[in-house]
Amino acid sequence: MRNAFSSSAVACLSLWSAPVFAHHSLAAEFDINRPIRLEGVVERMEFSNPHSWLHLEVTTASGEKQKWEIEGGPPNSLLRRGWNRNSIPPGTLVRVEGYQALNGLYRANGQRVTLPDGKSLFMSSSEVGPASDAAQ
Amino acid sequence: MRSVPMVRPAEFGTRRELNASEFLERASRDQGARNESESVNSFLQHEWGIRTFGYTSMIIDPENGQAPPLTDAGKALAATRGRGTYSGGPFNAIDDFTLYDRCITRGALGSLLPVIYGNGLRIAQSPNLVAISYEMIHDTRIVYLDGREPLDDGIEQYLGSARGRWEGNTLVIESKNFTDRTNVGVNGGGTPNSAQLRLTERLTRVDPAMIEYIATIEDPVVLTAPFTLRLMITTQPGYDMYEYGCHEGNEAIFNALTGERAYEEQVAEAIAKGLPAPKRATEHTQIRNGRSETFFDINKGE
Repeated sequence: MRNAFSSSAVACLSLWSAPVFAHHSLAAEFDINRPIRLEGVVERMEFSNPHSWLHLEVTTASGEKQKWEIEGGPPNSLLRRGWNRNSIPPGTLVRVEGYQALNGLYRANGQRVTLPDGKSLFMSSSEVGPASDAAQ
Repeated sequence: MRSVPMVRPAEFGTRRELNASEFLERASRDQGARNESESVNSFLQHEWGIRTFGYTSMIIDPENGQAPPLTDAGKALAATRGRGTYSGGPFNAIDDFTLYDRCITRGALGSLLPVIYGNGLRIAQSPNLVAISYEMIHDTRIVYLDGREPLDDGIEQYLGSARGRWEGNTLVIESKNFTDRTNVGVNGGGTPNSAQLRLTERLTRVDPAMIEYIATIEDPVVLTAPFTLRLMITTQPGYDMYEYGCHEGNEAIFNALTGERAYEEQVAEAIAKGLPAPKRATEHTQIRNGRSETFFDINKGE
């Protein structure tokens, strides 16, 4: 299954692969063994393809300000899911769960965003579902 | 159409349609998938369509529904393709990624086959041409109906060049002038094509809401025989085509390349300390949806 886009002998001999893939492999970019949770203030939401990006300022316990970028699904999927450009206005304090980038930058694949009123939005852009949240 | 396999499961032999009980089973599975995409963890809402089809496979020729084997040249060509982000790496150069990873194209046929999301298709028609736009990656093919000559053989394009004509109510599109850099499978993956690819598509409006689509793929360099597939293009109330300017948010190449550099540093560091090299972080080792996965708390500095 992992070989859908690869040039390996398996893929080219099997000819057709099951159409279950998102645009990019999450594991090639993000550390799936480093699920993270963070709280931050929204600076802006970029509705861009093939992935959206939510920009946050995170303040750590030591007072450090970190600019985080959270990858979301493509706009067409988020729009069909009920999101829109104004779902998370700048200034909103949100909690995000996701997976940090392998390169160690302040960047993550977002899985779930929780708003101050407790409402949560699913923003996954890849094949891994939200962590510990089967009934979301 | 997502639940119709490309290649026919062997038990169906030369039978093209499911029987009543098999259809019921598929319809029920489709409904389950629809329900899950609406209510459970998924961004795939509205991507399951509203109809179930009873085809045993998309491939209808050869009679057994199986795809023809690749030639040796076809296998050699497949080996030249970028391995892509699903390969697990290593990622060192642009050629390690697919044209799809890079937002270039999914190819003339691969753009139309049913996939996980972004299945929208817009067909605009005038007396002299038909334009077919694919939602994901957002390629548009222009099919000329005015009888003009095909392009010269020396000109090669990712989507080929298309010429169309009407045979009764069927729009027949013949395309050639392809590059040898694309594939004809789902999302532009799978079977490679050579510059000798000839794609013949037949679109027939069989119902106000459905267009039967039949495509024949001929590529004497790559395939030991031509084959033909069939699917149904359908309308879906409430489904809109959204713009998909793919490059602006495509951070995947940067992320994968910089992730690779970070991994190289981890390996060098481990070797310097006399430790075994760390494994690539491509296998998920934590439990999910079962209770727990430990989160690293960024606000606490973890």
